[in-house]
Amino acid sequence: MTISKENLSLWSVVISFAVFLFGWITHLNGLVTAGICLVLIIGAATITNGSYVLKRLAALIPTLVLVTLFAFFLQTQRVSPQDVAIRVLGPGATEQATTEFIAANGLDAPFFSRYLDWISGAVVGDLGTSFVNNTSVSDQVAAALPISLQLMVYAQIIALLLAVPGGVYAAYKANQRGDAVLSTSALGFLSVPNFVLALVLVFLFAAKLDLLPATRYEYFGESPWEHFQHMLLPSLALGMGLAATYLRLLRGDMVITLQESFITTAKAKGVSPRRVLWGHALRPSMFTLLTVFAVNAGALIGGTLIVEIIFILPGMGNLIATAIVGFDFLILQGAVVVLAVGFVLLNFLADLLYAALDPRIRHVRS
Amino acid sequence: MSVVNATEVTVTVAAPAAPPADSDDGYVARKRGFWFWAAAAWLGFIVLCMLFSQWFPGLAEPRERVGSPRIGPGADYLFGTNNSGHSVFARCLHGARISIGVAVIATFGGIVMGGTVGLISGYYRRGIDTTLSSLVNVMLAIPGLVLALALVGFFAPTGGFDDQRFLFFTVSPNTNATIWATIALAILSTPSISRVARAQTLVWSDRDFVLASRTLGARNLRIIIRDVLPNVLPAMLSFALIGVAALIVVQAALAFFGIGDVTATSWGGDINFGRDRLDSEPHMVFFPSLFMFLTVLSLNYLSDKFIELNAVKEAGV
Amino acid sequence: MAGSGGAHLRRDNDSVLRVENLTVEFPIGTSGAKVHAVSDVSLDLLSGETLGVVGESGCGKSTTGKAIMRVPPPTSGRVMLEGTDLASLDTSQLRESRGRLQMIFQDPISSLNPRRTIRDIVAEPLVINWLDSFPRPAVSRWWEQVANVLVKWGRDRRVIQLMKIALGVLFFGFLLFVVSTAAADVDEFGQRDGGAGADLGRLVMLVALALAAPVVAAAVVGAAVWIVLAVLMPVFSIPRALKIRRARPAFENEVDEKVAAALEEVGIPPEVSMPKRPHEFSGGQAQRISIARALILSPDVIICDEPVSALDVSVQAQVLNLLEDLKASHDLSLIFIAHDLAVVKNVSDRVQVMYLGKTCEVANPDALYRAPRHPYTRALMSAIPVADPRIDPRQAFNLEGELPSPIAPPSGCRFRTRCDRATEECSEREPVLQLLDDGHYVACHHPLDGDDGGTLVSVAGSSAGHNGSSAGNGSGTGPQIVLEEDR
Repeated sequence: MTISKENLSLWSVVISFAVFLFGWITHLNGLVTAGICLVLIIGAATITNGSYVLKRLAALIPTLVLVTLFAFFLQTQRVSPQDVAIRVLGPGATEQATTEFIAANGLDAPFFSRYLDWISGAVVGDLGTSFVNNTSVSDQVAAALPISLQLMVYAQIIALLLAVPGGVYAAYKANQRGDAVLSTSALGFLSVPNFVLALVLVFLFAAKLDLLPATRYEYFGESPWEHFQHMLLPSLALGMGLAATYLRLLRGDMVITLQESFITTAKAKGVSPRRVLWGHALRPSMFTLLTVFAVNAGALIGGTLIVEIIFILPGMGNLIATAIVGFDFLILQGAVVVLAVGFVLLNFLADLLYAALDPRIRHVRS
Repeated sequence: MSVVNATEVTVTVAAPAAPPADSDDGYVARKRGFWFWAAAAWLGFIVLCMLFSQWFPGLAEPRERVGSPRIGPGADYLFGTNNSGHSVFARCLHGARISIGVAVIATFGGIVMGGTVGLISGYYRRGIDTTLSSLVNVMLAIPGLVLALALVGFFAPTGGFDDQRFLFFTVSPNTNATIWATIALAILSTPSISRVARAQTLVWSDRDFVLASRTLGARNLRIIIRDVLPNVLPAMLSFALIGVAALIVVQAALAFFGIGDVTATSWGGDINFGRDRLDSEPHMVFFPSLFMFLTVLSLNYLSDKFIELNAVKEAGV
Repeated sequence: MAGSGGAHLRRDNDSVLRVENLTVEFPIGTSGAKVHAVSDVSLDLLSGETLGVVGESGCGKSTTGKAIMRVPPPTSGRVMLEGTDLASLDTSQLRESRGRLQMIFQDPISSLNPRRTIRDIVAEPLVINWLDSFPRPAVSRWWEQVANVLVKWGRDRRVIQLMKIALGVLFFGFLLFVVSTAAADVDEFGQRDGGAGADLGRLVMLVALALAAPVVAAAVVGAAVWIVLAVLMPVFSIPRALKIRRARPAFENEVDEKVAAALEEVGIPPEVSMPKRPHEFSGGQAQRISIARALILSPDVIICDEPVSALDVSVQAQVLNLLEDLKASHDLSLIFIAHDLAVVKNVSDRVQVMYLGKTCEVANPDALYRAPRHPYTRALMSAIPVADPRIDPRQAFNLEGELPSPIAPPSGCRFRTRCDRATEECSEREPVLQLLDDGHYVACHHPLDGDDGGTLVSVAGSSAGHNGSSAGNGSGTGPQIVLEEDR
């Protein structure tokens, strides 16, 4: 497969994934790696189908502004300038000192003015300083985010590993016993809240069988083996629900694909069932799965936050929980903004990738 | 699934399961079967608990000490007792009020708001649609649980242990937090319901019968209510069932973050409190989890069935 | 084809419907480009007459029919129903005259709401009129007016354009501010000062806000008023609702009778059918129900938009015969829009040929089918398949090329890009409908002389000749129509 204008987008994704991995292993600045990846993908997509990408890019800015505005609005509703001053200066601060502090930090400025100041810092990675323990919000988020990301990636991998063969098999045996078992258990797993699944897994594998550790996080760099051991249960707790969603979708699409005439043709030519399923039917059935793969990230983010709390992983979920309990609203704001913006960007990239894979989309949508 | 999952629903609505054999009345054969009734019966029981658990004869109060703490399930205490010696069985039944009530009311709010927005933007289109849709898209741009956390985390006051009443019911020791959680969940479910309603409205308002009504001089409001809404409603309702299921889970998840009605009797709260002693007394986690699982499963199953049963057959020319 | 002009309109006072210079344009996005769906089309309809409108799909014939019904209202032009201009009527007068002007649609299944019963569907016109006879409280009228104004503003191209510009400017200023501030260094309090760039950005944002302010303010005020009225409306509507409720039982009985009568007339057994829903009927039956709905207010004119195209050939004849019978018994005038030339020939007293939103030719069907005078009509005629092996279809006057885009129609005569007789003149001057011979109007600079087009059609025409002529003398029940395909 050579690089051509048509598959440029695909290659850009592959290359940026490599850049991302490289950055991760060599401990490059996360913002820098993410920036390089973004520029790579968007650049390649712009070359292939310029107007579509530019339109989507223009639509991205208002969304990002409104999302950040919303988070900032909530934060300022809860945190009054006096609160901030008293938290920083201590409960015994005089009124004059409080007023001076408010003026010096621009806390009495109009809402939009404060938002503009804050967002200007946020775009270069400065999410402010926590008034509770005087630490940088960005540092805390930067420490927590990779752990959540790892968990999500592992969960997706597990989900796909389970769902693709399962979905193909269920579609192949549609309305027979094998399909019934798989579809029913998929519905079952879909209905287990992932914190319940997490607790069940902990109970079985950690408490009763004592096979795997139930809590704590191990860094990959320190001990890869321990790292995967610690991540297996949380990833499973997250991945099973996802796998159920994917399996149901893939099965539905594939059942429809298998009724199409090109499949009949392939069968008539004497192609083996295995090749019909994996070689002919799977690819056209994957499109819905691909979109859901990205949009489901929203559900995945939510799940990650809860599962982290149960397994006591120092990711975004625990960061948020600690912030809420400790009334640290700047951290809460920072975490919400980072998750929301990440989600928006992810959806945007998925759209680009989708357009690159299926040329019909860019014509229909643009 | 811990968060309202828009995609899944869109897909289900767009591609309903292949209909079984046609029957004479034109609707898809109504094969309800045993599991349909089992799910409906469970939900009926849960709704009874939600409405009337405080008047059930012989049922312990949620915070009534019935025995020593942490007794396992058995003949004396059906589901055992929890850390404080409260009956787990009684708490499971009482917990339905918060767990289901919040989700149902929030979903209802979401249907009213999202349905209105979706119908208006799908029916009038153009500038109105663009404006409303972009607002909806912004709301969808925040992951569901994160939005709920932000709304409840910033707004809902925490703490407070006095029993409060809301209308006729004792809601929770911290009614404000419950109401805030309900509002947050209603806001959370609005955009996805509005998307479903809009997509369906776009399809149905293009049909000739809408044009026919307009040539008869029907007002827009009449067309929306008489012609468009009845056709949009089934998709919305089947979505609402999944929506309720998702919100039950989100509502429970809030307990893990220590916000909302931490002290209320709810399944999520009990699971959260019980998990410290998971290895020695799993029954404190198991039974509320089971109640939640069965409820969510029933809702998901009924939603699947609902789509099958309501697929209107449009006679073939 | 450019057929503008109204030479073919009859001075007659008894024309029930008269459409002058009808133009329908649809704006595309906010770019200012338009689809010229119908351009300057005139037609008239005498009492008891059937006017056939034919043309390829996309020629604007359906749009013409809908524009007459004012869904959507035409961009310009007059529609006169028995001498009154529909555009001059207010909402309730318009609703009243809609009773005299009805429409039947192409897809019988799609034109019936699948969730309502046949009784409710057929009764709908009666119910709408009846409800209208109860005066609505002022709050409801205000609410409707506010809603209409809001919708109008929300759809207005200039408003949308303005908001787009304002948004663009706003975000430009925002980016300017953010970029210049983000690039600045942090001072001792953790604040950044963007300097001149930030000030400029702030200014640009203020300009954008000032631009958008009137619209935003109007929208917010309008929406607030709308919501308040929407909340008040149910309260103030209670007396009206009570009145309606008291009057309803008597009215429902009356409706039942009328619906039953209308269904009986179109050949649908009322007793069994009224509680059923549309999916329980076949296409032909559904179209009969549509006809019953159109008939129930005893209209003067029915616009039939391809009423039989979606039906089986065997059912087509039944529905056509039904229309023909009803026309006689109810003193109806019909506008019959179709692309099937055989059908049109059999039902019409007069045929109007359209191409790309313009009129080409108007004539009675016999003359038109025997000797088309417009090159487009000839091409259309020769596209009718003929069951005769001696005729070589390759010698037919087939059309070359594609239908031009209605967004940028050709200058002069719109047909010239596909016409073998086109000259310089055709691209410069638009031909106007002119009288050639008895009742035969053509909009063409180089009309055919009446003999050279006839070869193919005469074969098909001769066998159906007597049918056509009998339909031609208009009124009366006429012989039962048998379609060419049925032979």
